[in-house]
Amino acid sequence: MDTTRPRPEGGTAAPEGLSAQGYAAEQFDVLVIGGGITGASVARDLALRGLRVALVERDDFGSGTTGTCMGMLHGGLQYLLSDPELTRVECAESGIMQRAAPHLVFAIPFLYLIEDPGKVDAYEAFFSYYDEFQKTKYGRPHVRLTPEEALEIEPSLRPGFAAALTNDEPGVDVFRLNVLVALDAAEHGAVVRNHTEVVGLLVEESSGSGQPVSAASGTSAHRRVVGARVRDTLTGDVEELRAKVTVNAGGPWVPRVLAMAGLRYRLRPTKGIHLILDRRLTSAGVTISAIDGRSICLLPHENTTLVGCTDDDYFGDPDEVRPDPQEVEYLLTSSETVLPRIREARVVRVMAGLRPTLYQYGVYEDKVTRDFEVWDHEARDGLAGLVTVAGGKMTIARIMAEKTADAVVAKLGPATDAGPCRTADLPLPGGERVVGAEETEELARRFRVPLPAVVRLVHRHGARAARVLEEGLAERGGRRQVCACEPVLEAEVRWAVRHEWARTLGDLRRRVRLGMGPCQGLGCSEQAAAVLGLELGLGPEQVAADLEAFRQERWKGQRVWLTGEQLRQQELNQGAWLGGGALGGWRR
Amino acid sequence: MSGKASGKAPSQPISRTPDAVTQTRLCALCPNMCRFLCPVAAAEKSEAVTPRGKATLALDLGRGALPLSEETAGLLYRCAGCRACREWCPSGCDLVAVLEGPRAEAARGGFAPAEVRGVRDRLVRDRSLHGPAGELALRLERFRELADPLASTLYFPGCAAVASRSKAVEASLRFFEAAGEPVALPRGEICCGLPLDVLGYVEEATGFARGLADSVAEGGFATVVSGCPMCVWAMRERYPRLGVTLPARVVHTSEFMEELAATGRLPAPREGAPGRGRPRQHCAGAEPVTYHDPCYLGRYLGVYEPPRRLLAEVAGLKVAEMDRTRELAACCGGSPALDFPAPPTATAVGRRRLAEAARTGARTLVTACPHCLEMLSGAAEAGLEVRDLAEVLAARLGLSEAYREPSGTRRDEWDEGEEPGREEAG
Repeated sequence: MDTTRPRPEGGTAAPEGLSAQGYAAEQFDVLVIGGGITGASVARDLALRGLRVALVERDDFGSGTTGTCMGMLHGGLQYLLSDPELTRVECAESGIMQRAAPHLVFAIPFLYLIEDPGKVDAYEAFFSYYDEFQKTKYGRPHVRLTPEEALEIEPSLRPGFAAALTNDEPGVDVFRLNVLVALDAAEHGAVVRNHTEVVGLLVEESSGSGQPVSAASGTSAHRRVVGARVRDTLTGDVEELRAKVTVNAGGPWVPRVLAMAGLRYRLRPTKGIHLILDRRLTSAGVTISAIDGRSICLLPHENTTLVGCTDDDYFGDPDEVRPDPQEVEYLLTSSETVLPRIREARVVRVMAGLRPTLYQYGVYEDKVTRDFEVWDHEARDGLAGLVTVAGGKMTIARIMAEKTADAVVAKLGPATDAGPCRTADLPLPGGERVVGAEETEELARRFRVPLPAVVRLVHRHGARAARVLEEGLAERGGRRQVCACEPVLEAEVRWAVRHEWARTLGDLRRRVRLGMGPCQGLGCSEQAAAVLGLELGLGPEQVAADLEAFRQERWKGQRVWLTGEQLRQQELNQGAWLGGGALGGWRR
Repeated sequence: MSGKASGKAPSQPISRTPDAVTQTRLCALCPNMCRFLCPVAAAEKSEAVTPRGKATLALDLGRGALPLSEETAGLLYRCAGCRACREWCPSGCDLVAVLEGPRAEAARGGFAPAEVRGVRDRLVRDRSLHGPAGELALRLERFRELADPLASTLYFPGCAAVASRSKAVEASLRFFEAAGEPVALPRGEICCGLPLDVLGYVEEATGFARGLADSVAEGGFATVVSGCPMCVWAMRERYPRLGVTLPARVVHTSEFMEELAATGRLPAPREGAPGRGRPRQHCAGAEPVTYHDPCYLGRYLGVYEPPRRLLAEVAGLKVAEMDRTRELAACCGGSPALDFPAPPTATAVGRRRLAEAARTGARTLVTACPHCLEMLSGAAEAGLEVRDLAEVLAARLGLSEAYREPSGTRRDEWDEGEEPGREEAG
């Protein structure tokens, strides 16, 4: 891949990720492994403290656990009775993220349906208790609705419940949140690279290396991690990144990274799947008691509906996590008790992910702690220069990062000129100020772009939307809508390639929601691939290969649930686009 | 696109017109916002059978990017031809036109699904979709007393009505009788051949068209009235494109009945006691009915108001409209183009429409197409009666008569469980 093509300067500092060759000679303060929300938050936190940070991600930001979550910065209602402290922290963290990225976070009204008339008061007491917590996340106090009132809001609910309680929880575009955190790290000097896999940890004997011995190490540490050997998975280039401290933020892959240093650790990852339906079934989120009594929910997200999630032990390879048709049926069977219309909708994608939950024996999956731990391997295993952050949840990623960064700063010792943690106060890129409805309409008029497209652009880019349009519309065809399921402008695609490390169509999907609509990328991927190819200077073969990989990935999420005639039809449809239709020209 | 379509041009009565090529391309590359309107896509829950999915296939077949095989051809028959997507389409694409060429190629090449080939064989053998034409003609024989062979108007019930809805045929004839309008019954072809045409067997369909045109010419009819909108559309719009001209005006019964009603010769609607000895639930009072727009009558022929006016003004009934009516009415799946190749899908489509009808609260669903009647009454659950427009009108005007089967004849499907005399006036 040609990565030397000069890229135009945008309003932001151009991230160094794509052309970040030649860091072999540089000594970083910290190398963070894993570009999910946790790793990105750690990198941001440390960069804001003024340290020299490198962040490497094997695939793309949010392509693992972060990207397969429900997309909520919820207040932890479900933990209120078992772990009120977690609820308190989640509410507070949710509030912080809402302040940091006001454009990206939106309130989802929720309906909690209560079947048993005898339990309505008890539930209401519970919600009143929660109301005390959720002030910090700007949640409105609950309202008790009669069945008639609830049915007026959502007429397709199955009647027969005793009452409904409302509440609102913040939703977020998780991919955007993840990339904004990484972007903020980069804008504060971090070197950020996606599609960069750690193939080995650099371990040195402290006696021969001449490295400064950290304050806490004393004399017991004889082995030390001094960085990692990384490989660009798209170009195959291998180089070594050296750092004083390495942070393992691998999520479910934490044990795998540790195994590279010869350490044996385990988590208890649990698998969760979500369904994405081809339409919005409701305007409000609805919580549903599943067939086994667990709580699942259904919520509108952009033009689709998300249903989830499951929670089951997973013992396999984290790379191989796949949804199972049985799990899909579990979600549908459970949901149709509340919303019979769900069977009319089509499941356009099933996504599966792993929670990186800490190891616990003897409890049900639901009850496995959602807490996190920071492991200093110098104290635990006599391996200096390595810190692991394990467990946790997306909502509390910032506080996880703060604790991890504190541990890292302690390891670096007093000689390091590190400031205090500032992540709780500073906005994320685009969140510097709120872009209101009037300003959004003004943008649409000024740039002569349809309002629905601008609304989405403002949602994703906040205060920077104008810059995206300015730069993108200067190019020929910038006004063109690449994806019509959810209007995505070519201008935004270009921006994502230039300033947000989008190197593949999959990356573009995570940046701009390309191919997330009902057709799952059949309509938009060629157009986006053409823009990507032009921006990155790719050859037709590379573009075609990326297109095929993208389509296969989309297809993977669909075929789980298809059987019989539907499967045959969709295979043929896929073939029409893949083999004959759109790509036929490349093949011949 | 040129490759396949134009290669065989000489033997093709209908090749893909430049217009159809453009429409195919437009449709295949469109955002597919009409996907939620497509009854087949809603029933089968598959992106492949959305309008764009089918157009993409047509595009690839046309330019030779995909081979025409039994597998690829199967998807071409996942369209009821309801034209709901065309109502929505900003580019004015007609999926029926898009699929016409590929279906014809599939049919000619023998790639059509077995069910479709079976329909073709039956039609060519029996000259009707519903059993041998001779048998149907015999059924029609019962109504000879209501007909006048010398009339200048031909009443052409359509094979589906004769086969499974003789009540509607009788009711129509009684209505014409009451209005003082003599009509003749068909001799010769009893099927218009349109099912062959929509499935891609254009040459065979042309044969039917010629036969029917000849018999109309021989009878010297000035007007042809049919209760089947598919027949009306075939004779009025489709035959000319097949190179056959029917030397008569062609109208649907609802249009014709409205003309007759304007003459003022019809009796007033009866309250409470509708038919002579045959009270019907739906006319026990002025309970509202709901009306389903047949695709061929509505979107194809543009006849939306005559049936509604007849129900309101002649029958004195209130029409409770469904959510989607007129141009946006949902298909019932009864079209032979879908019902024969994919019966489960067609039934699923019909159930969705019935659910919509049930939401109106009406207990009677009225429609004006024998294919719709067959599908909807077959799929209807207890509590909802499905009736033809003519039946309702005749009953409300007191024209229906206890109808007894000639001994030895097979009972109509519809007559089962409706023993005359078992129902009491209520």
